[in-house]
Amino acid sequence: MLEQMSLFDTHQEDTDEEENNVNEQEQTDNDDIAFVAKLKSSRTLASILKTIHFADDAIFCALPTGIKIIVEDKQCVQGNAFIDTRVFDSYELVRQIRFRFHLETVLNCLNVFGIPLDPVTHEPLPTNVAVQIHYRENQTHPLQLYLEEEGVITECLIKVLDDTDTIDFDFQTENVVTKVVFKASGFKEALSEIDLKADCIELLITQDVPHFRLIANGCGGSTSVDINQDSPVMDTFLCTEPVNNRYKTQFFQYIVRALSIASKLSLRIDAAGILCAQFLIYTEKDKPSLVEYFFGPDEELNEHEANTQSSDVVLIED
Amino acid sequence: MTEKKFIFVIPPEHVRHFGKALQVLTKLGEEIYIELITKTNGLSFRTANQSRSSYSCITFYRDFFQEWPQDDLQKEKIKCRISAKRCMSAVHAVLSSKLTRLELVFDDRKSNLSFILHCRYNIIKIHSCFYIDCEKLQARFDKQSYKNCVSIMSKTLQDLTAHFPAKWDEITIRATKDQFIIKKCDEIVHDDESIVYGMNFQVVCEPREFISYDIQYKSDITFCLREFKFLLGLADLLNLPMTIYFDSRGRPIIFCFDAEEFYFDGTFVFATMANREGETDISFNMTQTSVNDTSTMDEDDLVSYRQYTINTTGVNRGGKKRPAPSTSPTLETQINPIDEEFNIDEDNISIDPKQRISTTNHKNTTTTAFGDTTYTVLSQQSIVGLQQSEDFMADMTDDEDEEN
Repeated sequence: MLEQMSLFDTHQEDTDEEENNVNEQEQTDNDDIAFVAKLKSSRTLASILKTIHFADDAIFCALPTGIKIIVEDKQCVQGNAFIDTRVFDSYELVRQIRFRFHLETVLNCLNVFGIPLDPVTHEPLPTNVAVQIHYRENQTHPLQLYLEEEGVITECLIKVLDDTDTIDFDFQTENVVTKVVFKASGFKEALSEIDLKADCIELLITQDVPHFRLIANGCGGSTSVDINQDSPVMDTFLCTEPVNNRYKTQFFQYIVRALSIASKLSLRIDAAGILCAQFLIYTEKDKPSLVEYFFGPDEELNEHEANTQSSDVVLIED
Repeated sequence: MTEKKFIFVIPPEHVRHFGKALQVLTKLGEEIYIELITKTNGLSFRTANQSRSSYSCITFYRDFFQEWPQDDLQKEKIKCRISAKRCMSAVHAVLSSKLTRLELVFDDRKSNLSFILHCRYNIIKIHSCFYIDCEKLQARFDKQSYKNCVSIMSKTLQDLTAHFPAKWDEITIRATKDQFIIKKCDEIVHDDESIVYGMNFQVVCEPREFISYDIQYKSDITFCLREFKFLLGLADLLNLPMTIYFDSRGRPIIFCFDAEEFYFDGTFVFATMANREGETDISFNMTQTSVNDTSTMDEDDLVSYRQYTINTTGVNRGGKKRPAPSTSPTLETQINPIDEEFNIDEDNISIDPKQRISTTNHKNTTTTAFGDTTYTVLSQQSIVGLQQSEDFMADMTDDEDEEN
């Protein structure tokens, strides 16, 4: 394999110069640098961002533990992606930052060298594109992304937007009514024929058979999937109270999308009926990344429920 | 129907056949009519296309199923129809998963047909659709009255027609004692009456390609290619001998197969292009009393078939119904000499005793239930329509009666 040109160890003069320019700039504005992260494969970041790409804007937070990206859709769905510091090759955080950015733009930049697809499975192949993220606290400076493949460097400067508040679903982790953990591949197979054009998806989780049932009611009929507790697809099954809630179908479309890169999926529902779906994603490093969704139940259809506590979902803003 | 549940269980080895057969039906029509026939112990699935120019019927017999509704339930009948689209999604699920068991449950209380798929990993998928009780769908045709009957392996037929481009609307068969030619219909007539010759190719087969070859009438018929290709979709899975009955233009062509070892059979009837209006095949005598049928034909159905042919002729060909090739009159006049030769030539007499036996059984026919809706695939002008059968009680002997 050819010795790759990389941002990490430059040998040629041109890139040296470029690097020097960047370094010089960095020296002069060093006080402003809030965050620098380097990743050997941009594919890791791009594929995770793609799973939560269901709205135009996203919130970017750089925390001491890693990066958190929050995407919200019409105040009823929230998707979060957590990428631990150990996934990055280099992670320097000066101050915690939080800003809003246009997700599609960043995704396009991360994929600027193209997305090679496997001819057979049509899955994206791993690439040699490295990425560096620089951000200065000063809002006049844009978010800087440097992507490099085999000596070619692309510099992307993306304007950041004002930060906005995000919903706090107030998921009651201490009051979780049911928790089910699935193997992602098996669950994806189970969902493969669910009619995603139906209006809503009904989730039925009980201690008796069928333990887990997903029903999609379409016009002219319905499709349902039953997964038994004994199924090898199900890793964990905990149910303190029977649950029968409805959720909007588009939520499950997000779930199916995330299943393609995840290894495990955990579904938890709390007493208020909020569904928290967490996906464990393993990339190159041993440390997994996490993508989670919060869905509120479809309230008007749950009025007849006697078992679940009839508390309204309260959205508390930060 | 009653307030009970009819449960049919299909064993894993037959699941793919069931799925594939149903898949073909969902492509050939908008609604699938289901009927439980107690006499022959068969569950039949039938469909007809929107313009009623094709009819398909696949019947699964008792041995196809692992479990069958008990005898006491059989006093009640299943007669209903379901939407082909809903069925398509269920069939797609059946074909794409490895199943350990497939159940069909007719729940009369909820008017619901459920396909219960037992997949691997202890996962159960249920596809249900609503059904509507209705009268049965039945076509009237008489296989015995056809002069030409050939039998060929379905895979061979599929290979022969595989390279016919799907964009060709129709396909023509020209059959004589010595040759069986499959080709595209000859002329394209534009509005300005000029004739344009497009690309054409033909497949010429000799009688020895066929399992049996019995041609008594020189035929030149044209029918829909698209539906024919759907029908041959079954050939991928089952390489079975397919029997084809046909003769004059306008008379429908019938494809039958009998998968004995798999316990199901199928019949497909496609309308063929008729001659110019008014023209009939003079030398050809029809044995059935379907002449009566023409007089009571619904005007709407006539219109719908014409519409179908207009739609299939394509935009650039104008709105004309394609006329018969100019050679057809000459073909007809040669019939008598060929018949004479034919009688002497023993090798070409069709040896198909199985077919003969099954079709002579229907002499003792029973009348169908009063009020059944049937439609007739007409001979002379190949117009297919819906009729009330009570008018035609006397004509029951002509039916391809599956209740035998």
